Amino acid sequence: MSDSSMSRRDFVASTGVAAAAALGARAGEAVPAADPPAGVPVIVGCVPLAAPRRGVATVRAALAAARTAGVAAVIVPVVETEHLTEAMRALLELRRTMEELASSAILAEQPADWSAAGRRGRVAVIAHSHGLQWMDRDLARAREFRAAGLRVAKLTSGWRNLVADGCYEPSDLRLTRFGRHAVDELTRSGILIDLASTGRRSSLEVMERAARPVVFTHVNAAALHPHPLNLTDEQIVACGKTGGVIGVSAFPALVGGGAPSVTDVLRHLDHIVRLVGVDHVGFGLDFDTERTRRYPTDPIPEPPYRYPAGLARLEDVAGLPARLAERGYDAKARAAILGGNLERALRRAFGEAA
Amino acid sequence: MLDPGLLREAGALTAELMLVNGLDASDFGDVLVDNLRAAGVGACLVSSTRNSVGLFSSTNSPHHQFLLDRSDRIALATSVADIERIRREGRTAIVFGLQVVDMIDEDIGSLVGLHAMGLRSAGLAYNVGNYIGSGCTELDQGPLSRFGVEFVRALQGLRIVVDIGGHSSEATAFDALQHTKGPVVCSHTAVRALRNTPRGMTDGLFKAIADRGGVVGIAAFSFFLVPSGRGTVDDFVRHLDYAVQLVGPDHVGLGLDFILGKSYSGPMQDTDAFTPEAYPQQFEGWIYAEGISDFTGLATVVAKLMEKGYSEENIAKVMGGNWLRVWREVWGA
Repeated sequence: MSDSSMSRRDFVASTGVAAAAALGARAGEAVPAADPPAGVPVIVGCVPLAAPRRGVATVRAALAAARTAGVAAVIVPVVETEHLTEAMRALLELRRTMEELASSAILAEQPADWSAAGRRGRVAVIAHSHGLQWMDRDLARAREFRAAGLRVAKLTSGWRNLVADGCYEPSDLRLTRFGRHAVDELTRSGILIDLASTGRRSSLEVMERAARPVVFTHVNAAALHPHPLNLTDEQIVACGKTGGVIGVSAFPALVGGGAPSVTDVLRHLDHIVRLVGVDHVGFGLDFDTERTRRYPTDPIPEPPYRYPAGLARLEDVAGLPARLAERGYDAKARAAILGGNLERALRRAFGEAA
Repeated sequence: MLDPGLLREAGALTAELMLVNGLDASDFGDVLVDNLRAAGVGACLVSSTRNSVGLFSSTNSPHHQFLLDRSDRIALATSVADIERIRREGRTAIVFGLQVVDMIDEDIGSLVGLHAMGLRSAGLAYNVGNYIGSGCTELDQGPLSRFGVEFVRALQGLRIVVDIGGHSSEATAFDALQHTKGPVVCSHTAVRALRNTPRGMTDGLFKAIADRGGVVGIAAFSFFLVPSGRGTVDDFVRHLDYAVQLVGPDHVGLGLDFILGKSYSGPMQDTDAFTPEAYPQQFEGWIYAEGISDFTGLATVVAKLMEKGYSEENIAKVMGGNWLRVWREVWGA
């Protein structure tokens, strides 16, 4: 116990220094027109409006908005909670939709894809799944789903499955026996593990085992706003230790405070930076107009959702560099937060697949 | 050695009894049926493999076809009235059950179809965790999931027996008790106080199931009964009798869990589902207690119970009556 808590304290101390350096940047520093600089892609961690099931028109509009805001790549929850057949169907539908939108979008299968997409004025779509329901007890499906285009996968959708416990389950169990194998297989297959909505203890166990960075694509800090989806400081620190990234969400129920402001969102970001530094945070804004609840008691409100004025649509991503500068994040930190960090995690996960 | 006179008397009593096996994992085929008939078994709950392949895979499942092919000897029962009629007709009643219902994924509505196809008993988790609960050899064991709560409520709504113990963890079983009403069962287990294995049940869970009017079936797997894995019918009866002394003669039954017609040898390949500590079958095949390795051993069990001074009434309960009582109450007919 003492060994691990010591190393954690050391870790927090060291990252705290980095955070202080970042926050020490001069507030109100002029933001260059090209921010972040060329070569650092802007990546948004959760863009449900670009999911093919929303219809081609919605996808087209979402990707156009992303492009307008200078976004290079978006992580899109293509597969929701479907099991094998419907999950694979969703991925095939994505491939068709990407062909249809070939002039404005590209399915990202390797990191080079978003650089190439950016040069041609297109947005790269990184396919994501809300849980491993599609895997059943068949590990080989990880590679098969990767071949079909999947690149980022949550372990659970918030409810218990064959792998892990969900964040909505009071039981908060650790990984199952199969779950340990599934985590290892995702890593081997080159699929980035997203621990958003996985239960606290299961997520901590994954992070203890993690051979590569893991991400939480769209969550906030429980210290500022308690919610089953939001992360405890322990989870935030553990994520940082994997080299991973936490994508801060603008979803009002996770920001807290009824009608939150942009500042309220950025306070979550600041909190994470204070704990783990600027290299482990990004944006997973999660702009949405609909949400499916499984049970009436789910802690997710009904739409419509009142996102913060100034951070309510993908177009608003263009304004984030200035807002980050106002809060003291220098150019290097801004580049990391807006996309550099997520790119690093994505490259590590699926650029280096065996 | 049993007295020959006692054995004769036991044989005569056994022939009159309604013998009911609360769970069997044998291949649903002629080896099983021949053995059931030879032993004069009245009803047997058959449960297919853990993924339920074959039993409910389609409306034209091999199991339903087999029922048709052997309709002179066996018949599907979906009520206790069926079981009694089938016995009067000189046949053996077959009850369909599942030890785990992973086949439905998270689709609760599928239970309606499974019930219509004859399903009358369902387990929660099989050794490892699933969408419903945690298994008895899972690393981290806990209560039902939210879906698991929905699942047990749906089973009770459809009047399908909820089989809570044994393969499920104790934490899941106790939680299932919280979310159900009336009798629930554990179809096949052993006494953990006599043999410390995750597949055995604690005294506390025996009592909790008995308090609800349920029944617990005792399995004849040797390594559930004795650490050496070389048990005898005496070890089986020792577990049965311990349970009867603990919770009374109304809440214990047979859950023999034979695998007749199947062939297993050596360690199981899926060591997640069958951990070596819970399934130490490093010996040849899966060995049953000597003297109760198939249904023809039931007369010996009856003799041993007589020897222990059990009344005919209590023997009748343990050998089948308790299952019929609980099934009638749950199924409603």
